[in-house]
Amino acid sequence: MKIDVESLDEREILRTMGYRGSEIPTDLESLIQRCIRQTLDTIQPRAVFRRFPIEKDADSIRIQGTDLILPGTSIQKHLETSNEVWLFAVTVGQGTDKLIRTALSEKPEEGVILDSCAAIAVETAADKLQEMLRETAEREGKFITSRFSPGYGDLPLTVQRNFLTILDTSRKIGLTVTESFLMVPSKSVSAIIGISPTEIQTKQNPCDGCILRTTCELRKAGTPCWK
Amino acid sequence: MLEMKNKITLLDGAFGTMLQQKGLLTATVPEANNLTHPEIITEIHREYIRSGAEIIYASTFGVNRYKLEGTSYSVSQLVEAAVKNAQMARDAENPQVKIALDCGPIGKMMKPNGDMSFEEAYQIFEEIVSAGEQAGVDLIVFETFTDLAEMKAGILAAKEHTNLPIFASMSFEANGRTFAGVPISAAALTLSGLGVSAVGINCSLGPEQILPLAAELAKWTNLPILIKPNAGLPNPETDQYEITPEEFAEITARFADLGAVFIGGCCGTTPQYISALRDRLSGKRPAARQAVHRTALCSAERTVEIDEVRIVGERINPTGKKRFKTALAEHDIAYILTQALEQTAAGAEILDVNVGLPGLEEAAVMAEVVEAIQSVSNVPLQIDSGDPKTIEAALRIYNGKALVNSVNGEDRNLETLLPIVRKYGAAVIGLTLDENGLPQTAEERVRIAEKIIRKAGEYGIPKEDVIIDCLTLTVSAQQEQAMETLKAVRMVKEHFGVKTVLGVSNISFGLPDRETINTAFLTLALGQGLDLPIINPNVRSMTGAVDAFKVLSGQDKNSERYISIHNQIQSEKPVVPDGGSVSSDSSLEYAIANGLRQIAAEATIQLLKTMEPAEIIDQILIPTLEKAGTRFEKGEIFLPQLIQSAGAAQAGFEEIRKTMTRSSQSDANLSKGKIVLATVKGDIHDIGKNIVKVVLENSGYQIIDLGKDVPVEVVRQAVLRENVKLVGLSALMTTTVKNMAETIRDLKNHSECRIMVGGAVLTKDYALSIGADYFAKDAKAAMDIAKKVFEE
Repeated sequence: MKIDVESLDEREILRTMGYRGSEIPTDLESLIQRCIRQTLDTIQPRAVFRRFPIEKDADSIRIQGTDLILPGTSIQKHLETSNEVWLFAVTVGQGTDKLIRTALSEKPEEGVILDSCAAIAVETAADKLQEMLRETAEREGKFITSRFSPGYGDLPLTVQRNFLTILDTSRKIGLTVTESFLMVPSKSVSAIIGISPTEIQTKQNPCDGCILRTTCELRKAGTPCWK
Repeated sequence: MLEMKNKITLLDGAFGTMLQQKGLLTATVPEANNLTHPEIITEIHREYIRSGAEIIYASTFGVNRYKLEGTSYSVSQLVEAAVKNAQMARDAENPQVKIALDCGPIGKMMKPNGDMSFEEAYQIFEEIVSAGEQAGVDLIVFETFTDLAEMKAGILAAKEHTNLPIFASMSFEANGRTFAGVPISAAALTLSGLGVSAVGINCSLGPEQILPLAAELAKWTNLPILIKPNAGLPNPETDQYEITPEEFAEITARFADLGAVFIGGCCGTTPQYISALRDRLSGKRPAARQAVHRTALCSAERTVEIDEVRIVGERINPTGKKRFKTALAEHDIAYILTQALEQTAAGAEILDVNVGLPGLEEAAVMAEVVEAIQSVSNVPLQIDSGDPKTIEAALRIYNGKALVNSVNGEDRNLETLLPIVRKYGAAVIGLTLDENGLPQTAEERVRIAEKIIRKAGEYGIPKEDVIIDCLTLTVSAQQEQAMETLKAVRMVKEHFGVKTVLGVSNISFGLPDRETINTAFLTLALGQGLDLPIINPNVRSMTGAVDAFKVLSGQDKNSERYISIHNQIQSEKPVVPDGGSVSSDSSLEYAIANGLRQIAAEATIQLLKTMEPAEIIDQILIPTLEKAGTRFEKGEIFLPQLIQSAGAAQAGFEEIRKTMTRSSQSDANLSKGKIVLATVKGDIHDIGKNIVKVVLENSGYQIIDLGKDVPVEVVRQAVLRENVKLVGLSALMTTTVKNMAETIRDLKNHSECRIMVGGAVLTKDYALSIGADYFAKDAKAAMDIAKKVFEE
């Protein structure tokens, strides 16, 4: 399905570029605005999601009706109270990768800004989808967890390929994975959202599960990407 | 064999949907059902045949080496079983039914977006199509493709390894493009050129949404058209398709009115849909289609029709350009890319690509340059070479429909090159010269043009794909020839109705103020009907002449294009820098600190009058950029500003290089040292490496950029060959850091070089633990490390 992304939060874009509050010259500011518009014109945000009951083993989560097994304690903790999950994937499409690549060879600063814009665009699309899923759960009197992606915590990135195969992302939204389990198009998000009959008690800090936890400049600055 | 005159041939419907209904879609490899449940598969085929399907697709859609990885199945095993099941159904129901090998996308993305090479895709397809022919299919269907290059690899594999007819079908979104951005026109031009038996559209949308797309397809091809729509659009919550067999049949039958001859169903359709379709189509004949005669070229994302004057950019050519020769010799692909993008921005709609330089392996370099340009640009390319190997190497990997520059009227030349042009479905330029040399009259040129057009026709190349070059000769040497050339342009157009091309700039060779002569000649030639002027689009008077001609000839309706371009030109103030802020300070220091390219270039030109290049570099360029690095470190400026500063420094360096090339000085001794940069094997996220490159390059180092997904041995070879002291490696993901470790081990075993590493998941401790000498957390850190290493 298509997802509408009509605007991008400039503060978020600046943050992903390591902005620390210095004065932004007016010409740079207008360049950023132009990049935001160009990104919005180029992205084709699309999502696919499927709902599955889960089964819990001693050291993993089984996605019922598929052969996908999510190993590790992180995902178990994340899905502590859940008995179902949504698996989902969102991408802003291949055109965005080419836009960034072209800009990087023509005017690198534009490439860097566009890269940040696209990163925020896919996060925005994922947020929108998550909100939609939250509303669906709410109508059923249920609750959802935050997003948890392959590669977070001790959930290996290697589950990515099977994860995307189950969602048929290659055919449905043009999203594939490389031999090293990197997603293509690069501006894509795949994640698991738990569906819980009870309110999620443990306050979930998305940083806990993030692979960039130890090196993230945003986290160190107290302004993590998830706000 | 497959297409019946004036008759619609019914195809089958979805297979996955049927498997799902029978509860067999849970397996990771749905095609394994061919072995585990052959009777059910055969029954599904039989149901489709009973519903009226005359061509059935064997259940082989996802059978390929990549998707079968880690399973116990082989490609030939599943293809054989699937074809056997289809044959059983055919034999039981109707021996007239034809069986297709169904071949879907591999499931991996091609380079440059992904990590699959053209050759790898080709080999994967080769295995499938060979197995299909062996198993006895009647035809091969490539369907649901969204990447034109991947499909081209499949078609070439099928043409080169089987004798079967090929159907080629792509999936489009409602906006008329595939996920990879391929418009219908580009798909039609490219696939028709490759010599398939039918082109089509399947999946992704319902019949209603595909109708306008099919109408567009019919405007771009003369081939039979194939349509397999989904049963409407799926409900995202339930994943169920939502139109009934009757609704589906009612709309789908309308494809016959567009002239489609192969019609069936894709996802969500069942035998009920196909039989409803049969009923609707009974007695209906496909509408007669109008023949298409368009001269058009395309990349995967953009079609350029030669229905008005189109500028061909001539700058990607080493002839007479020292800077370009150096770039080619040093393998500086980035420089070539800037030449491509600059011309496109200036108005070129097609780019000529010539990399002929003695001592270089032309075919390999051409293929590499074509691939690199296509990775950043969507402009169709003109492959400029006389060498058949080079032309073939380029056409093979070219994504889209290219123009070959050129063949001439010599028999041997035509017999060698035309088959290559035909095989890859390119268009071709015919130079009006032959065994007898340069013709002296317009009439002789016309005679040679006639021969080229006729010969091309004999090889199956239609005349709309032949563009005639009436040869621009140097007016200072053969003054009377200018008018003969112009006369020939008119005659060729009138006699044969073909498009024409001219290399314009050659006219003024040997004369002062060449631009004046070039502009006048261009204007005269346009008046005679020139379609493709090959010019330097960076010269404003030349593109201006084209813009003006389009107004005067009525090609530019209501002068809209002219007004929009030339209003902008008029409003551009002369000394406004890139960003827009005007300043009275025009020093190089100020320009670099504020990232002003234009001012930096101008300031450098001024400084070169009084200072030595090395002084400018050591006293101003590098220290100012270092200062910007320090401000970046302190958070006084942020990343885009640091890069802007590096860009301004680059503008300064470029002026210095130009001056030195003009005075034939080598700029080698200006370099502070060579650094190899690479994003390691398996990793395709190279933005960090690219940022480091921009900054280091403009800090005075010579950068050998090996790109992304670089094999271990390629890094080693570059380091040893160039005797490099410092290597920078980047890796973004935990999964690729192990390849970084492997690259480091290999380098340490074979050389003395120092290694710095960077990447989002790395820490200093970890970097050192895998053997790196330095950890560069950002571009500034890389500058500091380089300085330290080279000052030791």
